[in-house]
Amino acid sequence: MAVIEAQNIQKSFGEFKAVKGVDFQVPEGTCVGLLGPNGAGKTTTMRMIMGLSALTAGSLKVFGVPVDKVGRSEKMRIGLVPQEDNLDPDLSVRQNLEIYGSYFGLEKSYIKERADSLLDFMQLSEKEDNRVNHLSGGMKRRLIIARALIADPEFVILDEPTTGLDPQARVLIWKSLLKLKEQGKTLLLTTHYMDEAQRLCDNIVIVDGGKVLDEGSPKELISKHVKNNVFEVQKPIPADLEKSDIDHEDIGDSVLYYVNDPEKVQGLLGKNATYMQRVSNLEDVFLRLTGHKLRE
Amino acid sequence: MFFSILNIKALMKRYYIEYRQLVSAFFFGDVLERIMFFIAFGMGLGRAVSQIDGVDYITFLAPGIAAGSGVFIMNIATTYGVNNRYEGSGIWNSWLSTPIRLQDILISELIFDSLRAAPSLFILYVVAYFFGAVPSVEGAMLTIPILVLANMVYGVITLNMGVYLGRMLYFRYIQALWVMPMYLFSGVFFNIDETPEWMQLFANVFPLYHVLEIVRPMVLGRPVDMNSVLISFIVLSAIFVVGFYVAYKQFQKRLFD
Repeated sequence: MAVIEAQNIQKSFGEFKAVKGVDFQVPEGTCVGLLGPNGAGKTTTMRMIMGLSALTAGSLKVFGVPVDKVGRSEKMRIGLVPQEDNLDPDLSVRQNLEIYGSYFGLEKSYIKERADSLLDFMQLSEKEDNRVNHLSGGMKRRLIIARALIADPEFVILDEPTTGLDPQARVLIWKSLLKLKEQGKTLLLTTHYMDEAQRLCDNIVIVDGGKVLDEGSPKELISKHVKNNVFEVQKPIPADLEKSDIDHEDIGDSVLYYVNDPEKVQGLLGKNATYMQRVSNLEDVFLRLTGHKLRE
Repeated sequence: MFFSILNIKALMKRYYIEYRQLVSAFFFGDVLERIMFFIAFGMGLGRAVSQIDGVDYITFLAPGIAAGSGVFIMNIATTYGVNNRYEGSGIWNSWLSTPIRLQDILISELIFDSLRAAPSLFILYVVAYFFGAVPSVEGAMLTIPILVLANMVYGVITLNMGVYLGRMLYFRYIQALWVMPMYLFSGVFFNIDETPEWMQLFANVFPLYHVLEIVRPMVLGRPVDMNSVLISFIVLSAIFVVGFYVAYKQFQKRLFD
């Protein structure tokens, strides 16, 4: 069964259409990544799933229940890691977990047990009595993830969980998310980091301008859109290469050539070409689909 | 049911933890200012005014200060306090991602802030008692639950104004155009019956005036007109129910649309 089924979901803020008809599914036990540039409609989509933003049109089901009918029993099964740090500033680290647990109506002893293990899981045990305002950015993110897990949800929504963190903190969070996957949890993730998506997601939905551009596994998307190898060739482009019918994209100062067989391009480069060759990745897919221009 | 008792209980606990941590800040904000008003006006102006409504000025003033104290508490709590929680720290969003719902948050906010006033009222009456300004101790104690309920009404009104205005900068309008006029023209400091007719009519607009009509005789140890109590109760309850529904709809629009 799909945990999330979105059909043609739309959201308008006055005249502005933030989401223009998005379809996607999150099958049980998988990790789905929602990728897109800033303003693509990712956060709005997440908020609609959580019932924090009403749909303008379309159908959105969470655990098979229409989102406007979602109640206590469904909410108990979802954990949300929002993009903003909305920890309770008046409470300590431990209180942030325990009081949050009480919102789910859980038993006191169970909450305490969960808080203990989550503080340990997120390496926050030493900070448990600190006020949250005294935590670093990375610790706050870890606490927010721990908070989302307090009721042991089956489905966890993560809106840019590692944005703004240092590499160490990101690795720690990735590890914990992989552990959640091992436990069979369903994850829905938005991120700007393609390596993060490639590492964690089974399936990727690329959105831009409030619409889905394409979806598939990271491998499928790479081989479909950018082959195995990328050559970034500086202009002027050697004549032989320019005449060839190799799949390419002009990005201003240079041209990107996408090929499965590197020799095909190498043979056409000539002696004086300046270029860089590398194995293609999800970032190439992303840039190819959403364009190379800055958005905001 | 529209409200979830389980959710309200959980939120109450959270508010209580915050209150316990900030109890001295609440004390200074809620009580000390009112005590200063009471002493300054009671002892200062009280010297010039010999008797009012058949009692010493300070005795007349005590129930007024008590009844009016909640207006300020509820205004700050339902405008700045609420705004900070849904826009500033964003914790309403985190609560709404759990089984807690908007209506549970709104009612908890009003109940907790209204209850918070009870200890403040008690302290005010103790101070007034030492100035010999509480003729009926029993009556004064009985006004505390009434004033807690009155706070719910003051609160729901400023809650609506706050969410309508939306931005903290605009909350000064509420202070200038609602809170202060209500405090100054409802008869906290003077006997409305002795004012010009237009002022008497004007006073009718404010819930505080109607609350004072009930509370002042109680503290003064005078008989209370039960008919007017009943009418006031019905009117104030109606204001609360309609006010709560409108606030709920306003917040739904602001948060979810």
